[in-house]
Amino acid sequence: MIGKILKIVLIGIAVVLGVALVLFMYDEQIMGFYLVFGVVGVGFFLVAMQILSLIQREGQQDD
Amino acid sequence: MIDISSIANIPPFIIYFLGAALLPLFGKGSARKVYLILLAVVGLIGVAVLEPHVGWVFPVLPGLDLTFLYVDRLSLIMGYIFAIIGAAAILYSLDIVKENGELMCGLLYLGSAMGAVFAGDFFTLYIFWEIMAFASLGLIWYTRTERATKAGMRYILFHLFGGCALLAGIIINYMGTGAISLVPGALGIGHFPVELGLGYFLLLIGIGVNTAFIFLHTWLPDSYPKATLAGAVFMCVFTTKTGVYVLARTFPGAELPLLGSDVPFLAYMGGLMCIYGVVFALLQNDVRKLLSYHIISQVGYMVAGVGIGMVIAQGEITHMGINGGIAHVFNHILYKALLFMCMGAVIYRTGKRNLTELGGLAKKMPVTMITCVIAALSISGVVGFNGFVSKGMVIHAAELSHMHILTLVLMLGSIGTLLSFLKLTYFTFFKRNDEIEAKEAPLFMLIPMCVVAFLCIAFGVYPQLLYAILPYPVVLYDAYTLAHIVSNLELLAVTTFMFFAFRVLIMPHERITYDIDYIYRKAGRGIIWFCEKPLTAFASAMDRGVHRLTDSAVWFSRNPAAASVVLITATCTKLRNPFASEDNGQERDRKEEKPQLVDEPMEKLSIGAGVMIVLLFFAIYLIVMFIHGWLSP
Repeated sequence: MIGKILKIVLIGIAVVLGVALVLFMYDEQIMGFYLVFGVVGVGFFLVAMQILSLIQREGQQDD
Repeated sequence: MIDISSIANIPPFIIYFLGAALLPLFGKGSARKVYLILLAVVGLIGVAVLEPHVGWVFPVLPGLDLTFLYVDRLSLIMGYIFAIIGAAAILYSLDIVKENGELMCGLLYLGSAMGAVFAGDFFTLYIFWEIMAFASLGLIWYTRTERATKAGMRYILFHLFGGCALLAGIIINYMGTGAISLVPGALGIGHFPVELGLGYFLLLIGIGVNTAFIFLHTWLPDSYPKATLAGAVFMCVFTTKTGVYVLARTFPGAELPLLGSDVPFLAYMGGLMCIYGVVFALLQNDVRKLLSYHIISQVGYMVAGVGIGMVIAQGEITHMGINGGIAHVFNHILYKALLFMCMGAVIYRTGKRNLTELGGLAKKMPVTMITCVIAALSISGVVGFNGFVSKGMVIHAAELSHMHILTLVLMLGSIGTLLSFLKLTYFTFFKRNDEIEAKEAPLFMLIPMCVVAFLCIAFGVYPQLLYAILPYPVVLYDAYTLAHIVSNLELLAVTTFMFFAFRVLIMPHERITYDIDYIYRKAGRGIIWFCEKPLTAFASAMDRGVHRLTDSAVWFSRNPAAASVVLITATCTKLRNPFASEDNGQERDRKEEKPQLVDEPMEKLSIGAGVMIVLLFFAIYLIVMFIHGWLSP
């Protein structure tokens, strides 16, 4: 569990750095912005999924 | 007086309501199929011949008319897409729906959605709004499982709450502004004036339930996956889109004063919906639940567009936000209905609904696979498909409005959308699964799927078809600029690469995902406990107290004089010896004496004495009233 949280935190830091880079590049409007944004975007969703998976429960999706 | 000025302008809801009423006459065989095909065609023609017009006005009270047909460009585009997809859903239902009741619910649902978008005033809209809720409930309950029954109950509770909020908002706003009609003057598209206050927020909540605003959205992913296969195709189209339509009528470009500045809260709510829906969609295993979360996400783009509203750029005022939102409604209905049709076909043929159980269907259901991929590319906004045009318009409107955070959030939503549809198509059709057995979907399912897939491409390749029917002229926007195409391809290429690189992390699992409804259900259980335990105990105590009081009153009234003696004696005894145990002999004697006393013969006063006592009380009463000045006018 702790290892998982550590991994999430590390990826989260990477995503935050990526977001900062994207915001900087967005302001500068340089080439390749969308490539970086895509990488950061996918990273964001992977982190979000990992965080939400902590509150998931094993079993069939039901009510 | 009923104003039916033109026979061509018949409210489309009449066609579908009448169609639903006559359906049982055709049994369940071929006659029913022919009848339903004819009904779909008549419905399409009925909307196609409509022209901007106000009619079917029923005076109800002085100053209050119910207008059943108000056609302008905004209602017309909604009518077109509802009729197109309604026809597709009817065709799709032909082979798989056995019960007439389910089809009648579908037709009533379609008709009431038509009634809502062509309503000329808010009361008429409200009537159809409620019919929609109950008709769609039937589509959930026709699944005939316990899960569906419970989900249906939660669904209708949510919608009744929303309906009550909407009605209260309409009434409060009517009392404040006198506004009820959507019909503008001679020109323009009707907007409903809303005054800031309680009515404003109630209207927003009422509309927000149907539009699935975050915190009011949980009914959607809860109920849609439990609807019947054909029912889900109907359901994914009408409720949320009617909500967006009403938002476009009531809150275009809505802003709220917050921290000293006007905040376009609706646009940001759209952004939140966009991301929230995608994140939860990525976690799903049930294919229809994944699609349901994507409705929230895609409706987010529409809400953002409507929330942006008008855009002032290059010295021009345009309605790019509203146009983008409505264009996205149109396109989204096409590809979302197609996705639900495809997944319905998969479930129909395999009996499986979880991604963990599916896979290997690309060769067994090739037409379904191709149409599903087209829908997935459309919803992901890939160049050449209809989602690219409308999503681009909303994002461009956000850019021109200098809402940079919103722009990035909407672009982020695109990435998540592509990720989750790569997941859906890969794990349904392309992942290796040798155990699965299936064959291609029936013809009547495939025909509407192919037609809608064709429309997704047609509106993507030639967007002028869509521009021509949008509510406002399209200016300052061209979908196919080099910058837009290149940026789109860059974004999608890197997302696709990342998906295959990190596929393991996105793999579906058999897990239960908690959403906000977990809190609602806990709170609901708490309320039920409160009602069953403390509230019931309090009610019982009150009941016992009242019974004791009435018993004492009855006992006292039987022989007031003797009863008074008993009470005085008891009081005196208590005062003389306040710490005496209740078990002493004297007390026991008094308790035994109490019931017997009332049976003793009463001392009767003469009538005159009785009248005297009454007059005495009356005189005291008048004196008190006089002293306090309560008698003065």
